[in-house]
Amino acid sequence: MIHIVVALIHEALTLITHYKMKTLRGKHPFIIYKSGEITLIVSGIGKSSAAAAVGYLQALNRENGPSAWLNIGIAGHQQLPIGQGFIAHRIQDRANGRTYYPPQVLPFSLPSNNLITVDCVEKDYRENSAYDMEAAAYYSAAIRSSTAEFVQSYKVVSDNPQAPVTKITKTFVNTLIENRIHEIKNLIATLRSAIKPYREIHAPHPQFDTLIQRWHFTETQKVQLKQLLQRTQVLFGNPLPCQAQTTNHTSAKTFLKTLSDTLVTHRLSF
Amino acid sequence: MPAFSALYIENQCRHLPRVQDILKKCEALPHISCERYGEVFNPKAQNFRLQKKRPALVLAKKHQHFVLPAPAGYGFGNKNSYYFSHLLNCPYDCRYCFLQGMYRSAHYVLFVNYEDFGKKISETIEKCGHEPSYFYAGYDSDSLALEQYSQFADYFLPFFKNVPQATLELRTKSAQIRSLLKHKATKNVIIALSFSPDQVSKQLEHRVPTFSKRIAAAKKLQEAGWSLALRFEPLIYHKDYKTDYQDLFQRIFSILDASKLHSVSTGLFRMPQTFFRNIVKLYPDEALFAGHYDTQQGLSTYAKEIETEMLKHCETALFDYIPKEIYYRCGTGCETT
Ligand code: SF4
Repeated sequence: MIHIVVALIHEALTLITHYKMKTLRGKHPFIIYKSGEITLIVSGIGKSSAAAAVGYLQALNRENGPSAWLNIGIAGHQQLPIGQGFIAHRIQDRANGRTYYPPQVLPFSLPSNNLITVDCVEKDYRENSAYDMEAAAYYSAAIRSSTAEFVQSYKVVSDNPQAPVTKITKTFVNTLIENRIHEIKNLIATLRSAIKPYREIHAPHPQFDTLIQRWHFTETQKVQLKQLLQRTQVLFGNPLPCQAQTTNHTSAKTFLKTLSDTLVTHRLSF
Repeated sequence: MPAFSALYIENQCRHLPRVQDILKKCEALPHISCERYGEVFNPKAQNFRLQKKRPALVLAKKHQHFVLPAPAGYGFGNKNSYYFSHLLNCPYDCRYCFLQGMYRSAHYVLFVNYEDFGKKISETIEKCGHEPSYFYAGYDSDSLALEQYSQFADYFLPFFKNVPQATLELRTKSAQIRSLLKHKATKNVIIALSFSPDQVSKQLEHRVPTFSKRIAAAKKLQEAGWSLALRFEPLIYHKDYKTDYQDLFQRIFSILDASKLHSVSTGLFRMPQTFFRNIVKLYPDEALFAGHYDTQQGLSTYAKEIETEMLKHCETALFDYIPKEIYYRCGTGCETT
């Protein structure tokens, strides 16, 4: 699952076309597009819009397991040329000074840069950094539900002291993103291949759902069951070893005890 | 060699020559400024396992707790035992290592103000008066693993040479010994090498150099006059552990001169329960943690009878090669290196 957050629809058009995304049906406070495992939300401009959009997608996907997050958009920069794309390796919220460091451990093969999130359009470009209006809020919201390695922000330079922000048009924004689609595609592919094994490792045992229908498990017992099944799977593979076959048991309690006993007697071999 | 994903540099130490040297060696990497290393290292939403694939190097200055009392039972068991950590985390990836459960981040943090460490170590030695003191440098990392960047040996070997009443233990799984061999063997510096049976090492000690490389390095060090110690910590319980440990000892002592060893120790698998739980969350697919563990005084351990059986067997096997006087059991709750 990859959730893309953009502020403006013109930052999204290329992606919608490229990934053949469809509008998500139903009543939503944001425009949302979807294609397979990719969801895109158009948040609107500013920190509170970005945080709200992330929160909304989090709520929609509560049951869907771990996700990766990608904020895509335009940004001003003191020094970089127009059209340059980069990943943010340091995001600072100018209003409160809070600084975030999205870990750069996945092999993105992209240049990276500092990014300052401002509340009003930056026209002075005071620091050797990029400037946007969403990333800090997006990031701090997204890391509530995902590990930071899977929360990234990618920006394309749209303005700098030589080409001020006032010159930006909707078509220009679209072109900027379109020209960087190869980079964005790679970025999404990298996130995808990193999140896939992560999701698999954390997925519940294939028999979990069937087992909880079979007997009554309390919430604590469900957690125990999840853990015991996972450990059993690691040591014995699938299906469950014969002593843990469900037909031999009459309740959740006896089943959990058998699973646990099976693990006690196991000797690791290399 | 570790390929860092990035360099984080605390603003306060960017100007230091040691930092400038490292920056030059890593020119192609992103250089990211930060105020304090904790901003990068400590945030909650981080995944040690994901970061371990391509950790970053964080260059920082330490401000306090330079020298700490060694945990009870750690090391040779003497009084006046201390440890210091110039580096947090290590480039190897041993599945039993407690660092994975203790830290949220797998980035390496290198504290570059060695002179401040030196000052505090001197003060500690002075406080011990005429009594000998012991300093362990491999508690939160592998002492030599990032040597190419840290140049730890270049500073601390001459330092300890000048304080013969103190002993320094470097603990390592590295086979890179050039940094040691370029110095004359120092009597009060002990190089402690950890070994596990081949099968255990292959399964659990990822990225650690092979046994043959490490034993060859150990032999060179011994020939150059360095005082070596052997660490078999943690002993890993598995089906063939008896023959595997016997074989390991036989191979080691057919190469190293046991009479020249400083000490030999074994240690049981013991890990604070909170660290253990964190590691299981990170590695739910790891067989080492899928079996049964007991809890003894807040530590996750093998069952008592397994511990007793393993210790008895390994000690008996060891005493075929070494005198009991140089042997001790390490009794801490954590194992690194
Ligand atoms: S046990 Fe030692 S060598 Fe292995 S990862 Fe931990 S510190 Fe590094």
